[in-house]
Amino acid sequence: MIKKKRSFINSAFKWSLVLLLNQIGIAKKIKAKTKPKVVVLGAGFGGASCISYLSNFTDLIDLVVIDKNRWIKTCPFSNLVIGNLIDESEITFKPKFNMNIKFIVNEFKFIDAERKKISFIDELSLDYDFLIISPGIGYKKKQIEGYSVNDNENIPHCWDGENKLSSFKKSLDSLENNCKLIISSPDYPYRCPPAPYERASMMANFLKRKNIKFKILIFDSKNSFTKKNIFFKEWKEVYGDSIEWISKKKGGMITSFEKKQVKNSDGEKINGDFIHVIPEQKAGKIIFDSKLCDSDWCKINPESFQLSNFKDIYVVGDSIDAGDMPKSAFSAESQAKVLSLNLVNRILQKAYLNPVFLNTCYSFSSHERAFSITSWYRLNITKDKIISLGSSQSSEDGLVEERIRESKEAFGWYESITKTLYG
Amino acid sequence: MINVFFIIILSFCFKYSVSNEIKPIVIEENCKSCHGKDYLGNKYIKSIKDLDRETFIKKMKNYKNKDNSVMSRIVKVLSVDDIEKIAEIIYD
Repeated sequence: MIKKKRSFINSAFKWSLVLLLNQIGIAKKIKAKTKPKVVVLGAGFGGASCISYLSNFTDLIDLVVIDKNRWIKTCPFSNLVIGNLIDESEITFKPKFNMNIKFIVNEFKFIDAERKKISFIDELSLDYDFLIISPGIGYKKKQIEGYSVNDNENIPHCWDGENKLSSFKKSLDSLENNCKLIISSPDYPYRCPPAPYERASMMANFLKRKNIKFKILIFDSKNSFTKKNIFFKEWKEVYGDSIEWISKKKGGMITSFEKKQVKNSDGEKINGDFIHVIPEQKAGKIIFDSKLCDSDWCKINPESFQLSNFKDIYVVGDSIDAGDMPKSAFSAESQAKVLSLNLVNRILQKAYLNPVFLNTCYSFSSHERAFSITSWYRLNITKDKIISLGSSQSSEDGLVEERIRESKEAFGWYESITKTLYG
Repeated sequence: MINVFFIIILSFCFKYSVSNEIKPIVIEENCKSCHGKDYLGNKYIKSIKDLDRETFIKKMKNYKNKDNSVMSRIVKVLSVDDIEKIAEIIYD
């Protein structure tokens, strides 16, 4: 018994020494003025939020951000471009990062986690000490039968920074009177839960302004959605009976796709003049190309956002399994702040801060009509999951004044966040 | 003697332990999403810096009893102590 106790203490002592020496190593690097290099992959809301916060610490770290695009087109408010509420130029930004930050425009190909090196498609490479990945979403290989995300003949899904909004609007603009539009909405989880229904609203707004009669059918792979009752009331108020939602249990799940026809789980064939499939999603492509994850979404430590099983790699935003948090730009920004705060704390060898997160999702039904859902989040008792503290939303019977006020608040949020992130 | 040394080593290792308390800065950072990095707002959202600290605290407390606005929904989860600590960060 005494021998076992001595052996345990000896082992614990040895491992403690290893940890201590590791921390001394990091401290030495800071003292020796070789600043640790923090590389951020992706300049969307998650990545840019990390940059925004970490730019306050460039005396402590070398900060590099990489994106394949010099200009960033945001997904938030892209639905409003479809609805002709705003112009596409208003969601397009050329980031003006701090002069101390290196912005590399290049397409990353592979992350070698063992050698701590990023490779680009042009064969260049970059090493890192700490890597933050915020790549947004990718698309599952398995989609509705007959549908391909990459088929340019299909209506573009416009669910990521590639947008292709002008192509989407061109197809919408070509529709004639009494047209029928079909939207296929995926099952959870996907980027921005209310977005398919806001998309339907904005498509309706576009067509209503053209004074043509239309019917939008939303076929859903699920039996409910966020802010459903508010959307129903708004649709009735603004568009009459022009938008109809079909739940999964009432035949809403689409099982096969052709350019002008879909089939649902009841075997029913439905023709459409405009068929818009929102694809099934997963974490960003770089995650899987680099073999950093073996499930659809990255498992992370929710207080540091360190990627499970990978030292010094952090993932934030839509690519992670964020527990109860929805995949949204607001969520990504909130997460990025915690990640950045605690990464700095790690480098300075201070205690991690206990996280709390906020998300507010605004949805537009029409010009000057918006409503929202809000929730705070914190970690569960075992600190391995982000849990909601309860969500609350706008009134279902909201007065016009409330809808107008919230539409202004949505614009206020968008203007604040894009100014902070992109200058 | 070796046990004392062992405890000292271990104390370095647990620097990353997390306090159960939420630090006000973690809450306050979320306010900047809408109100801006310097709390100056924009043409849609008023500047918080136009208020003094006491008015800010009073308005925030009012939101706890108010309607179903976004601010009311955000503030209702915060304690009065949270509000006062956020005010300390913003106005100091």
